Amino acid sequence: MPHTTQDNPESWLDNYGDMLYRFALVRVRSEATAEDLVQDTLLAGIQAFDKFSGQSSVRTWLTGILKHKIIDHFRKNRYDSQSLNDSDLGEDLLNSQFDQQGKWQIDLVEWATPDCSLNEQQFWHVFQQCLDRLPKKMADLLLLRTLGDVSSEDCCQVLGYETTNQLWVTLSRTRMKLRQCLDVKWFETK
Amino acid sequence: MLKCKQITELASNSLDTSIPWLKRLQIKLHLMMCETCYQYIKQIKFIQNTISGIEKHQENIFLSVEAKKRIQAKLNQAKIL
Ligand SMILES: [Zn+2]
Repeated sequence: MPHTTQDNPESWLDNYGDMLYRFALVRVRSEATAEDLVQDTLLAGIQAFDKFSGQSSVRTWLTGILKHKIIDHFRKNRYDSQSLNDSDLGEDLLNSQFDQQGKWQIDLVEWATPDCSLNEQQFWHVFQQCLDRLPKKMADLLLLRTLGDVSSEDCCQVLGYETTNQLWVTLSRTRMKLRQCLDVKWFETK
Repeated sequence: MLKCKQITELASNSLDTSIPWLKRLQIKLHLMMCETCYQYIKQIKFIQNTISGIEKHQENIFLSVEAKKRIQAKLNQAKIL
């Protein structure tokens, strides 16, 4: 296999380290853990480089290894010891939003120019704050599912869920809580 | 008839997985009559897009010099390079 400079494992840290780090950091939300994952990924990549077929780019191939490492990380830190309680799942919020029949009893005000918010540094700060206010496993789950790397089966396994239905309910409640937080902390202040 | 509470949950589900066409139709019909659910769904879709955009937003984040040194040391230590 012809090796270009990019293919040379010695240059991987310089060429792909930052990219892999960002990929990990968004998902695990811890600088130390993200650093460890980059290191493990590079080590694994170097060890398996003779199996690299060259059908994808090194970048794609390393990212694939990292995805597995991330799922392993969540699997190792399984959450089954602390299952989500009613308050985690936002039962109170649910009951304050809907009446007995399941109809809205609050008014939702249209968010003003939400797309412009994405250009504001302060918005991202608030968004991160709202994510951090969620129970950790709910925020992890929403990020992993939305960023699209983790199958529902893997999510269930990590969370100790028996059925995907529990997963969909949890994600729905997570969005509900996050929406509420953004509403109060950002859009209502606009 | 599905109530708002069920509609919001279904709409969230539809962001995660494919839901049956009949349920999709029920959501559509409900949204024609219910402004609050319409707003709710617009907002959770915005949240969805925001999360998808996090990576792009963080393009200016890099491994620190120290972190690179630590990783390099580990790679050397593994005597692979
Ligand atoms: Zn409704």
